[in-house]
Amino acid sequence: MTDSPPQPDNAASPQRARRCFLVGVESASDSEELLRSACDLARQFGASWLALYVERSPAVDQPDKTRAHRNLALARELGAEVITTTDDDFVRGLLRVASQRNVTDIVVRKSRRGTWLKGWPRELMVRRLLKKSGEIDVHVMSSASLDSGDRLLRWPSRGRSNLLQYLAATSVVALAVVANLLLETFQPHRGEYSTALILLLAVVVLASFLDAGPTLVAATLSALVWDYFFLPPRFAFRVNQFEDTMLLTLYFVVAIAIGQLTARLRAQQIAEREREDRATTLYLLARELTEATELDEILRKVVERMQHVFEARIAVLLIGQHGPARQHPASTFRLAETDQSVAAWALEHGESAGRFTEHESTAEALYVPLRASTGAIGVLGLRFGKQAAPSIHQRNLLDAFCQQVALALERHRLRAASENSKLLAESERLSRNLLNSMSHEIRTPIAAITSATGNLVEFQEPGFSESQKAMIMEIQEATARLNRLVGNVLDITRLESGHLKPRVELCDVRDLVQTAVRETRKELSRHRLIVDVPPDLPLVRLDFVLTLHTLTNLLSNAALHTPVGTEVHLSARVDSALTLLVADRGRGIPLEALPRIFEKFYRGPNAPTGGTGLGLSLVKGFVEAQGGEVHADNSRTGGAVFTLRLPLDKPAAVAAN
Amino acid sequence: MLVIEDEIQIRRLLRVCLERGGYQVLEAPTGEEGIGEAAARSPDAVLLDLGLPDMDGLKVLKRLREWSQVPVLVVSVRAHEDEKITALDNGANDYVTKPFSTGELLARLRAALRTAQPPEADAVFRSGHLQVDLATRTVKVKGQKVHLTATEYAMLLLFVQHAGKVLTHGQIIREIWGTNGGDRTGQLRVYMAYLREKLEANPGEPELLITEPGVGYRLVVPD
Repeated sequence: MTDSPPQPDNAASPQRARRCFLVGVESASDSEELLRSACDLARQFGASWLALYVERSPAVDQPDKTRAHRNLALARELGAEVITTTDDDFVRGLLRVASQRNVTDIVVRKSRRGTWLKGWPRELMVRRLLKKSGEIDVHVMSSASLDSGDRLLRWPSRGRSNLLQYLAATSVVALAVVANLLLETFQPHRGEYSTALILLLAVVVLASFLDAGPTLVAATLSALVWDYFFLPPRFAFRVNQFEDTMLLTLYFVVAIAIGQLTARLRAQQIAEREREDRATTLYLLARELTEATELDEILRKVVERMQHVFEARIAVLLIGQHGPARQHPASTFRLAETDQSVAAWALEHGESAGRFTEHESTAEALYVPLRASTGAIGVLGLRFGKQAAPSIHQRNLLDAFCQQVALALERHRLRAASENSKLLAESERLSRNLLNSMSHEIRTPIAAITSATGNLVEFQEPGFSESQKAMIMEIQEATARLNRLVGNVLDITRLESGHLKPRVELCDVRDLVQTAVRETRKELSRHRLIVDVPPDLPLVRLDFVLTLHTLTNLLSNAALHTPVGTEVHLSARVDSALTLLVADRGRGIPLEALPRIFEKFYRGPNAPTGGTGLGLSLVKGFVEAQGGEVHADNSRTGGAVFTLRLPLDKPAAVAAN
Repeated sequence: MLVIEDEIQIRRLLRVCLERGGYQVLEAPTGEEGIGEAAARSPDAVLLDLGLPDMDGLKVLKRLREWSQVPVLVVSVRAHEDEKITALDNGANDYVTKPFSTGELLARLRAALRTAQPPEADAVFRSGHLQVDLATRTVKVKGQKVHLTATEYAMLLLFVQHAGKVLTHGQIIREIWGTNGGDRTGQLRVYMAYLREKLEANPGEPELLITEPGVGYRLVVPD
């Protein structure tokens, strides 16, 4: 297929940066073949590729444009970046864009067969490209046929020639004739060539203003009039001299030449204006988007401007934080049932879909994805008022719009995220302050009571009766319980507000167990505690304080719910996780209570008083905050068993040096 | 004895409690006044509440430490370990969490006052069955000589010098391994286990070297 066979090894060579292919898209109907092979080629090299449409002036006619547009749409679909440029010379346009975009390879096509007459302009083009391409590799694909895309001469077309133009042409020629007749009256011996020049002047003037048809009519008319009325023999269509024939031919040559020139100028002017319009529109949009800060405002402005620019109704669909894309209220049309899936497709694939595209062209609107750095974040729907497909310029403008909008939305999202995190930090600060002042306000009076009763007991106030001493003991016990409750409530609040962050560090499990035993010594004084911790446990990474609270809660719980004198077992094991087991020899947990035992303020049937109803839910919370789990069960030998499992990243082997 | 505390009820109770322990008591309801009193009357020890109305107790502590080495006992309801560590690292000698028992408070106060006078070089430290002769660097448990490695002895010495006072993990690591030691938490745990193994009568139930959860360790002293 190609004259320079691909050498994929080249792509990996370090001297060569990432390759980039450029394909010249033409209006020819078999460009599809070219595009597909270019796509294959680019993939083979792992390169990106661009499809370039060089719009020639004078502008190509409508069917050509439509074909070119279809080719560009295909290129887009094949993953190419689509560029359009205006240049009279295809080769020059191609090389200009190639140097702008650091293209390494250009792909064009040549005719496989075909007559010399039809093939030579392309042959010439390929030769020129090869000569001028310099360092750029040129791949020349052969193609089956060449069609109208390669006509040598294009007749200028600037809309429909109307009757008025023909009328003007005729009248100007008539005026010239009248002027000639008047001149003849005053200067009878001027000769027929000055007359011819005046008529030629009329044709020149007409050619600069009128379309092809009227200009040609004027040229023909002038030629005929001159020959008939002014060239001797007069009043007869006869040409005697060679110079006269030349003069007659000149009328047509001038008409065509000037017409071409004018048409070209005008087309360039139009292209220039279109580019300027595009730049201005984009600039305005960008400015509006920068000024807008709220999402609604951004979208309202986008919709307003796009409605104006594309003469279409606009729908905006945005991906929410959760769930599917929702239509934003700024939209000016409502998606039909059938269009929903088309929009969803565009969103999912990050490609345009719907009307005027390859995918679901029967949809009532065109859907263009808004691509941000994280993928498509939404879809813009355009329901065009008119039937005609948007021009290439409009499609490019639309792409640029979508890029701008996606950027603005992303910027907005980032700003919102940063504000949100600030807000979160503020709320965390507030709630920490609240917790601190709560614990201060409640604990201060508790401290006063504890201290006061403590003084009474410790300094052995004389004159206290036994019953009074018993009362003081009651006060002390109740205060201790109240203090525990306050502590538990604060812990629960901290847990539930998510402000409890485990502080993981290397810990000695034996130390952990010893400390828990020490802290619950008073509660377990009337039980027999049996501790089973292997002496060679490795150090583990966990939050010492949280795990300690968990253990002391379980031990206190066991002390509270089992008869005096029974055994409580505490054992620890380390493998991929730290397993802590607290087993008692009580009556066990009633079956109906098992599923609810870790709920807040849940108290099992026949539960003795003295607990806060929060101990076990705290256990669960503390363990889960560290990514672990806790289970309650009854052992076969009787009694409840609580199993804690705390996952360990890796058992840390630390030895003294 | 200077009590810097905003709650009048707690102040009154502390006064009763301290006077019974044989101390004279000065009171200051705000941080500013407290610093003023401390400067004017040079108390033997300061009881400092962290939750003061005019300024943070930590700030009072820092201001005091700029010019004074007076023992400071922090009395606070702030039970969070981080705050205890911050207070200790900023020069507090010890802390008592509200609600506290009178006996506990007085014991801590005595320990703080004792630490203020460094032990003489040839002193012999005794706690329970442990006996440390600082001059000869000999350690005896139940009368039996115990061999300690250099690091173990350095740690024990640190505890003896601050007997009765809680030492934070950071303080111990800084003293033993210096500031650029990196994360030595693991080694600290291992050495503590070794020390307990060698010094405790029953290593399974430490009575001498007590863990202060999330804060550090404390060497218990006999009253």
